[in-house]
Amino acid sequence: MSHIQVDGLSAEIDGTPILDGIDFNIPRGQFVGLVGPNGSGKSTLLRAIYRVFKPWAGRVVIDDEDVWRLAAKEAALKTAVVAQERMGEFDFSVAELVLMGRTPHKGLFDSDNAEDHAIVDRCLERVHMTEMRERSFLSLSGGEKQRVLLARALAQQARFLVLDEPTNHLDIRHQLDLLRQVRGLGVTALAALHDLNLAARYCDRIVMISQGSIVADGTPDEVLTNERIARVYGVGARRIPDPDGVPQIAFYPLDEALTSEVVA
Amino acid sequence: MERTAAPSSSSTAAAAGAIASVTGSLPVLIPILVAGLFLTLTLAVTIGPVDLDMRTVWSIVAAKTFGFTGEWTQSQENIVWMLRLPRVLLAAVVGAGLAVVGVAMQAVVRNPLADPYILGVSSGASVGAVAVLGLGWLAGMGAFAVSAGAFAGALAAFAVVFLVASAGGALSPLRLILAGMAVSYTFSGLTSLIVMTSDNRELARAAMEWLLGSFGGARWSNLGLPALVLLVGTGYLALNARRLNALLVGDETAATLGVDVTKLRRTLFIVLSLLTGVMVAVSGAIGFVGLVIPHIVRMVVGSDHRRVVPVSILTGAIFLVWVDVGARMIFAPVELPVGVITALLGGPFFLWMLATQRWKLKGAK
Repeated sequence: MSHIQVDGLSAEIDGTPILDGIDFNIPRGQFVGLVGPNGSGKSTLLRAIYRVFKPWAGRVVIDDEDVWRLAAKEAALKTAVVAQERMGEFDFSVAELVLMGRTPHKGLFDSDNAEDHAIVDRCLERVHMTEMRERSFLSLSGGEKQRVLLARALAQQARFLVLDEPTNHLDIRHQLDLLRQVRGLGVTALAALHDLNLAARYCDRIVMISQGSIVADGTPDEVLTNERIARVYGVGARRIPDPDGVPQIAFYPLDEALTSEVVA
Repeated sequence: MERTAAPSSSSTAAAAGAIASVTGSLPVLIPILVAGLFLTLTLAVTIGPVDLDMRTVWSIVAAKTFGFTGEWTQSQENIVWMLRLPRVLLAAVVGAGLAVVGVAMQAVVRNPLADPYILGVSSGASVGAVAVLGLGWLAGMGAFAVSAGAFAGALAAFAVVFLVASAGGALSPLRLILAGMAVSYTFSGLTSLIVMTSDNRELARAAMEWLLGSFGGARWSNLGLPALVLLVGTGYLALNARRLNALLVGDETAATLGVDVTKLRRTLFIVLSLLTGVMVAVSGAIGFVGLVIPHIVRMVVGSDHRRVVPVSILTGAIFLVWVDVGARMIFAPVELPVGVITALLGGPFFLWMLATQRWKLKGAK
């Protein structure tokens, strides 16, 4: 039984179609990577799923409930998001920011209780940021910031985690760390990822979209074929042997002499 | 809130530790500020052309409140009860109101440079107030007409600035400030136009007060509405402090944290315009309180609105009472409009904020 179901989702921005009938579902506990070239509609799809950009057709159903029919607060109890944070000029401490994850659990007159603080402590521990709890968020490195945002999403205790390019601006080690952490959480998750090798290494399944439509949906091994990558991204791709058995890909520009090899 | 001492091994940790060490001390800070406010109110009443001591002031206040008499002159009683106390209280109410409006406005537009004066909302309120007097609008509303007009003007100005600044999607900090300037100029022009063409002679003098800000007209009778609006407005902001925090991080983040951003922002527009309108109606456009106070408060207690809101209210009240004492005393017996002093303090402060460039005016998408 699927946990998250995306049904015929279509969206447009200023009359330009961005998504065209997107259908897929995510079973409980699965970590799905959403890949596709720039402008393929990844971000719009995620934003439609986490209820920020309203699609003109289709539904996003989580545990039998259409998220676009829910109140903002109820939706936030279902889906937690790690997106690119542009904090601007206002600073918060790490603990304060993670505590914000408790917002949807709170009524107008509720104050933070011992349980909330315990949850914050636990979530900071899970992302290995306990020592940083009093640090100012803006003073953190990119990798630390992403971990704090992940902790905030965890503190929200939602059933479904959405991540939009969570590894952007991170160095290689932090990219690997972050995705390993998400993977290790065992939660139902959907992450838009640029890096196909990262997606292949950590995701149970990959959904590839191009020009607003799904072009492939399956295991990394099924989706990431040389031909498909060449067609969708317009680059040459060559699967290389990996001792872990994970599909890994080397890329090269298609307009160079090597082009003939990839077709063969 | 459970807080542990911050490590001070590195400089960044020490800077962050500053936030942490104070956050734990809100139960200390609030009583100190409340005591400071009481002392401020009392001292401000004692200061003036006629010197009074604190004992006399409190005796008179107690006597008037509980209805007994004592050994002071009628003129002393009049000075305390009829002149200085309403004025000092009004300065406190308006100071608290403008500071908290600044706090919330900065969250609404996610920009530390926002302030009702800088965004032209105060000018909008002035136009509304002057239009009511000059053109005789809303006559049916009696004593509340000026406040109602100021509220409408503030709401219109705020809406225009916000819509222009966020045209094309993201709210651009630079467009925001420029739109505020344009609205401010336009509405100041409108105010002058209404004053010049009006038959109401009183209006010219009143308009001057509105443009510069003054507590000279303070009476018990015009204290009630601002106090009530302050109570309701700050109550709303205090209850929504958690949501304001989310809004400060960003609209999308707030939405994913379960905040109905459109509804919250719409309500905030009304509440902030009401606060600004009522404060301006009673005291004129006093600038920069909403800029300076929230900024200083955030430097001390961090960004969490559950601390920023109460601390700003108290600090704003204390600040404006003293500014008004300055307005009365610096060139005594000539009285300065209080807005002149806040402008002389706030303008350079604004420039300093711009110059230190942590506040990037580049359009953050």
